[in-house]
Amino acid sequence: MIQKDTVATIAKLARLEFTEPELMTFADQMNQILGFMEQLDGLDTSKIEATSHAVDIPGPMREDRVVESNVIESLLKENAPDHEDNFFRVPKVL
Amino acid sequence: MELHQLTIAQAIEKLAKKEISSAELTAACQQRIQQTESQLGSYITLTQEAALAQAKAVDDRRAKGEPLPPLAGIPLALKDIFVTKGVKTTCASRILENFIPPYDGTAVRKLIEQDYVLLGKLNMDEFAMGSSTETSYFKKTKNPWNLEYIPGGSSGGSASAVAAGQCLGALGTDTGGSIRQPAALCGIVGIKPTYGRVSRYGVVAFASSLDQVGPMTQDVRDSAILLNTIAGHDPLDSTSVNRPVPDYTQSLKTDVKGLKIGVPKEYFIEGLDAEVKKSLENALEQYRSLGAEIIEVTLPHTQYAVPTYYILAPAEASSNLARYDGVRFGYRSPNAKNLTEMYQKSRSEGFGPEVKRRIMLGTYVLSAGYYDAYYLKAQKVRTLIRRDFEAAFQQVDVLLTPTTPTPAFRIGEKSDDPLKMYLSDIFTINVNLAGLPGMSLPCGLSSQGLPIGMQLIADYFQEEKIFHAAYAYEQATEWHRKRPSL
Repeated sequence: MIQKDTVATIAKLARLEFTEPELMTFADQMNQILGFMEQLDGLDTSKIEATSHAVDIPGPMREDRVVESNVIESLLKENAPDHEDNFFRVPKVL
Repeated sequence: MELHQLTIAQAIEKLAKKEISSAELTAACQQRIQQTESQLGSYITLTQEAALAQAKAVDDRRAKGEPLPPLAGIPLALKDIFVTKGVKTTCASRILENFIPPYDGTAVRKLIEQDYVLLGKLNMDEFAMGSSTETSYFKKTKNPWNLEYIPGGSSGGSASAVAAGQCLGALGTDTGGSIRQPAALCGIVGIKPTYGRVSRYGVVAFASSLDQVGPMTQDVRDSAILLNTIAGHDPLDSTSVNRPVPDYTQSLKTDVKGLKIGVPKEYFIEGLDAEVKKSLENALEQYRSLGAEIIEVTLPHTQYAVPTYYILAPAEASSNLARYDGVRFGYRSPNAKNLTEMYQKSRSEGFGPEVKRRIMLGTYVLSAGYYDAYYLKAQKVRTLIRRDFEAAFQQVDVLLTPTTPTPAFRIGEKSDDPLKMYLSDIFTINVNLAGLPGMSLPCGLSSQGLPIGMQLIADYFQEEKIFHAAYAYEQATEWHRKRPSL
């Protein structure tokens, strides 16, 4: 069973904030969902390999070439919440 | 027949013969949108002026006798998960509410190279997480067959728009059934190709080992036409597979004598709606009468698909969605005093409840001490699910199953119970876990007048077999001609 404290720790790891009632709701729902996942425990998978991708594709290689991207202006002017010169601006770190 | 009701194939022919212009066709779809959009809510963004301008440009070139690609001047729409240069791409999330991509994804670029007309961007579940399009930050899309019902999800806007004639066809994405399930519930055709068949470059990532792009269309021929266009290797997506793309329209044959159709007994379970079951039995009878051979097969690990999926997909999502931090693009909370607060508040204010639930689940199953018990375990069960299919395809050409356990459900019916919602994907997510191609096509209407869909599944890169089996059924029946009376 997941307790409210665990949910709070997970939220911190995921950089999410919740109110107390939200933490309680999440704890309930996660317990219900994780309980449902317990049916996998009944399967013996000790000799089974893991599948990370359905279609086995070797990592393709390519030449290391410099190409122009031409997106800096659009990224900064149309999309960056805050920027200065060619940099993203963020609130004080320390 | 009105212009907005044309299939893509019919429109291509009429445009080529100059019986109609692209401007007329585009205007007809736009008028249909204007008439029905307040009821349906299929679109997030309309690109009205650009669409008409593009249509007129194609008409001018045609008038001059320039050679044009097949899809030139065909009005289509895109799920709002496809990044489109200069056109807002929200993924139905507040966190991307004002995102204007600086580039086009590969599938979209291939449509642009064909001079298609973009009508707009379609509603969906937020970040494609949902089965009803109810988790969209912007609006709830209605099922055109009955406005009190959901259109399915996550590509619900795409399915609703195609079924209602608001566009001639659309692209969707499918991570656990998000093309096939809404296609079934809205009475249209939707295919999820083999993992790696269509490039995912420029598609907002949800669960990268499962996501795949596919067409949503009025019939099987249109599906083949669109897949011809978007399939193929792309150096910009390292998971795209370098294999030749066949002409899928060559597979549209009506003779299925000797075709072996497998019916997995695990799909005909308790909880399968009686009318859905009856429709599937009728479809099997239809295939039998066309000369196909029906063989019962077993996929013994079917019941483990939902728990496996709801470990793997949220785990991958929690990692993919870490990029939304308010630094470079997307929503930034104005309420933060320092960097950590900026991350937390931007994410907490920007994501909706279902997205947060999946990030939380994913973070938990990947966290220290739980990784082996959940994530690794699920990856191993995924192997077992894949092997089930591999064994079945030793015996048969295609598998036939229901797409969903029930027809569409009411708006609000499952939105408070995440687990119940997750179980509505029970027949589609195995196909994503195995990476196989699967199509949903219409095969009936319930007594309440709601569409019922059936799913054809084939072995890796055997989409041609699906198109063959689907076309033969479609041509022998009338279900694909039924349209909602909206």
